[in-house]
Amino acid sequence: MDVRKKVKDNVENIQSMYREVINWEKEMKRKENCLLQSKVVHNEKEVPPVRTKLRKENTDLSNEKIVNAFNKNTIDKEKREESLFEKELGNEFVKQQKWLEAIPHYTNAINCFSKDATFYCNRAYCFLQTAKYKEAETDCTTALQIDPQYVKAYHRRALALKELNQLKEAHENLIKALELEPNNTRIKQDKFKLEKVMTDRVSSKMTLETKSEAIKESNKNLAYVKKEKGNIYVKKKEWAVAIEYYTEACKLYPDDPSFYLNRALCFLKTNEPRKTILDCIRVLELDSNNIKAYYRRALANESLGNYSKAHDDFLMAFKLDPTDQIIQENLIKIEKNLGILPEENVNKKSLSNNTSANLNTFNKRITGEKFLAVGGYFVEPLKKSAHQLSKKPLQTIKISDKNENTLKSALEELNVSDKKSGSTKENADPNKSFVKSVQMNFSESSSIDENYIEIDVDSLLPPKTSMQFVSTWNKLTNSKMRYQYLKKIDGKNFPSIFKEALESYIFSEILEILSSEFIKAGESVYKYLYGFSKVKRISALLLFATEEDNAYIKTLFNYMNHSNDIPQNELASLRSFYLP
Amino acid sequence: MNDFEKPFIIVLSDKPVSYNIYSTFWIPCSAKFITFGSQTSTNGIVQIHEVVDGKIKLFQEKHLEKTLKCGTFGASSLRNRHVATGDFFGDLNIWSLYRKKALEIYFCYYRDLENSFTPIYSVQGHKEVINDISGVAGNSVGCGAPEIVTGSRDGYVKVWDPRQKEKPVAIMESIDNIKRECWAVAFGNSYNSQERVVCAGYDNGDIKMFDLRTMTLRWETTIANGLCSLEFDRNDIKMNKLLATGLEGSIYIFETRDRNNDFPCIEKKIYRATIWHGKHLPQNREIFVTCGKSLHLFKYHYCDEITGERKGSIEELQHTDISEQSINSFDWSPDKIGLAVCSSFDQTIRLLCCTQLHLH
Repeated sequence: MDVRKKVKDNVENIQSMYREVINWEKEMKRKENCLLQSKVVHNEKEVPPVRTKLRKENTDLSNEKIVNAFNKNTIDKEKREESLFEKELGNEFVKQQKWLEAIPHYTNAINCFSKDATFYCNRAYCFLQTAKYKEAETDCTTALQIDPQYVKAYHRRALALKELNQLKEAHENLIKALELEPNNTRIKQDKFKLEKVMTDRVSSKMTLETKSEAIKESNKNLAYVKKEKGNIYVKKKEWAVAIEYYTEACKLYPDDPSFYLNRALCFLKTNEPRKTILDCIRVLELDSNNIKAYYRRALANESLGNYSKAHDDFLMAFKLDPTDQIIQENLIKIEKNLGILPEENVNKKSLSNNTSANLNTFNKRITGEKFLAVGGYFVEPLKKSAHQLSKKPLQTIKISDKNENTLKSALEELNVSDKKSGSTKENADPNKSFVKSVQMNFSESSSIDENYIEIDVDSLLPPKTSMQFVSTWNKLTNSKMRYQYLKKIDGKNFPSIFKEALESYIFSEILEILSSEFIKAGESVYKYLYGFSKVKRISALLLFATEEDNAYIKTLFNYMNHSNDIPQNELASLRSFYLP
Repeated sequence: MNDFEKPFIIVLSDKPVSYNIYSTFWIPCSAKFITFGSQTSTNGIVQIHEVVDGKIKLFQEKHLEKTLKCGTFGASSLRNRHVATGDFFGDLNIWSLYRKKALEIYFCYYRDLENSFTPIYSVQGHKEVINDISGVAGNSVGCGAPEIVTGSRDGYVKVWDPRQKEKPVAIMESIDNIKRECWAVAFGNSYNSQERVVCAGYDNGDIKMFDLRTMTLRWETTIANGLCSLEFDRNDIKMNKLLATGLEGSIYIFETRDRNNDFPCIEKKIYRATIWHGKHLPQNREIFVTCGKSLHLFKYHYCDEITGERKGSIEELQHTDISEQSINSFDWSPDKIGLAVCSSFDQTIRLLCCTQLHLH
């Protein structure tokens, strides 16, 4: 239709154009005749004098020739040479560090030949040196427009941006420069400096503004990085370097004992036992159960000749980890050195002969009294600092249902065991109430199929969008739930809920519910039908409504005819809408 | 824009002729147009055709000794309607089309025995063929004196004032003996009584803009191939854009608005054949046609200052093949929008009509 109309329009256009041309012809002929028949009137417009005369008057130059060269290349060549000459002059001044004198030469070079990136870049360098950072930055940008691979320009722009306090952009530029020339040490240095400035800036800013967790976090991360580096040097046995890294780490994050601990090791290796002891003490302040700290302090003490102190530390370490053979050996060695066998150690000396057997008894001695008669046992809280805790995620334990009886018996057992274990009544009471609550839950869950839905529907809120409605509607699988859900919605809100997104199947499902459950319950359906009649796409849906839908609508209207609370005229208009 | 809103180029009428056509253009304020041509290299022919009932009808014909190559009404007032022509021997002539009240052509050469009439202005301007001619300030008021510029194979570009006999008012020549053939000339920037530029295009692709006020070379550039035509969208306003067409099927639009003589260029390659002419629609300077193998109608869009674009863009509105061989001459009617006349190498004159141009 549309196309045909347009074709027709076009044909008409062409025809009208043709007609216009013919009319125009006539008009033109008339005009021409007028023009020819009109008497020649000499109202000469004011015209400037002939160009040559004018020029002679003005300048006395009789030569009116413009001389121009056709060989464009020669001009370009000359210009290019001149520009290069100017550039060389500029470079000379740069070598003498006379920046201000170099700049005009470069400018001349640019004026002669504007498409050489080096002129801009060199001028940018002079600007940089004379602290005109803004100009330097723009020059670098033009240089890069001419030659986007120009490393120096990136580098200089970065320096200018750094001075202009745009650190991030400067960093980007340096990265770009390094991408192009990965082996340029100067750029690397500058990048390193810039990064340092950036971190300093960040940290100083942060501490000034808020001593928030964030800085700590960043410092901590940095500290761990340093630590890692230190560890690498430890592996290489370059103790002095490692010590430096650990010291930095300690400064950044003084709350982690591992830095001190590692440093203690390095001090130990570099024969600085006093420093080792100091570090170990710090570690033990932070984490009193650190075996390694005891062990290292013991070694340091040993090398200083403080055998008794060393012995105490070894003993402590042994207590904390009785399985470590090295500690045991050391302990025995030092006991021999001391020549004293303290009372506690009598059994431990024999212990060293057959370790495994004695270990068990030792364990029992420590924890045995804490075992419970019920068969379960208390887990002792560990005093571990954060870094020592396992980094594995907690396992979720699968909880399977048990029969009511077994649970009850289990609970009874529990009660009994509570009594047996002699727990006080205050403790028992909450346990009992717990049992009750569990039982209650059970009784409810047994009747899950019947009651679950009702609770659910009651808790539902009336939907605000068609999305909400459809998703809940699809969840409610039986007609009773849907009936209850529908009852919650005011039919007059349908237009605002559905807007233009009413699906035909939703519509017919709602009709089904209305005609079955609502009629059964004797509820009013007028509101809903009225609401639907105001939904935007409803006429289209009605057009394609199935016979079932029509049947539903008919039954609904029959039902409404019987109820008295609807005004007859409104009902009639609604009827004519649905059933035309 | 869908296909139906595009302008259509329709051939209203065509007329085969028995000579090679070099140029064809409308006579202002009439339904007539002139064609220059030659039957042999020496015998020139001038014809005036009239549009009658939408058909081309021969109005008058004149045989000449010398063949005219190009002509313009640009430097003539509507009242006089003097046509300036350049011929194959380097002569510039200005003719009066009408004598007294009679609608008769007064084309003749030197001594026409029948009429004993000579052109009102005649000068041996160049040593070789005048390839292009352009006139300015014929009708418009306050934009300087009427002048004619000619470009010739001998490498000179000369500016003439009809009031000054024998001598040109300005000559543009090469600095040394390298002579480049001038193929196209155009006036522009003539927005007051002083300012005026001449653009000249040469066979090596050079485009040079000469400032007639300061008598200097104002701007120059080089395109890949020889220049066939140059035209400012208007010559009596501040120069806005310059359309250049040439060999190898590229068109160039230089945005010559005041940008410190740094004019961005839009280049578009249509096909690999010569584009003989580019002509702006007199009624709408953003629409122009280029003709060669086929006719292409373009619309120019200005650059969007807000988005920071430097260059505008061109949009092709329509293209049609109307003849077997290339179209070498084209002229929009100054009086009727969309009406045009063109001539092609297959010795045919066509009256064209372009619809829906007012929509763009």
